[in-house]
Amino acid sequence: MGENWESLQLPIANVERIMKKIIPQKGKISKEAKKTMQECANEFISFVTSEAAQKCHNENRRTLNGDDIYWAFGSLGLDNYAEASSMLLLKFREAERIKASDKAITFQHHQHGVEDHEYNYEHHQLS
Amino acid sequence: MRQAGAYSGVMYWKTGPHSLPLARIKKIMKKSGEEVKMISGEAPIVFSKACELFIEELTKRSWMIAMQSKKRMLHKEDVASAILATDVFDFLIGLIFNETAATAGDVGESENISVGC
Repeated sequence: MGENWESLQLPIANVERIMKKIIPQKGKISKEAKKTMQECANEFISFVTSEAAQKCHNENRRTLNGDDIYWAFGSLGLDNYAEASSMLLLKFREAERIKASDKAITFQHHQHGVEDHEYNYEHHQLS
Repeated sequence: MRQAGAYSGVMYWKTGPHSLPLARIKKIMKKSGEEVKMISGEAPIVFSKACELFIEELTKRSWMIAMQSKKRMLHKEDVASAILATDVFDFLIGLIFNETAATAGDVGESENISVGC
């Protein structure tokens, strides 16, 4: 059996939670409105991703990265999204740098026989 | 040293947990076209935040329209009107005028989309 429609959308519970943050507590949301929002979010991702992918293709690059998404937002007139994503990328890359330098310090400790500390790492793989 | 999986669902870092699942976002990105080949780890993270902002913005605009008719419930027609009223959301116009798998045959909730000015 193929995948059902729900599994190809952002989960309705997550979408609903975000919508509910916006409307007053006593406000309600119809089921159809939630599903429409899921579709719109889906189209938002597809629309921007296609634009970014086209740029990568034109520049002979195989990997779509955060900068491409940032660029695509700007290209499509979604300027406030471009701004938000540039700030996010700055923070994210800073966090990654810190993790990487922690890792380097651990490695040096190993080499000098210092007791190992436990670190948690999120390993980001290229897919 | 414990290494978590690449997309373990929720990722905590300086700006807090993500409200949308990264693996699902990546799946949607991959389905968007033939040209999408490899996706870096940071791209779904950017979309996690951007989608949250997008849903917030569209909900806010839709709710303001619902309020004009003194409704207490947000309906699909309010979302449709908000899309029509917002230039940068023109890419969504095709969506709201099509019956989709999601909205076709919703018993008791079928609505006419009124094209408001």
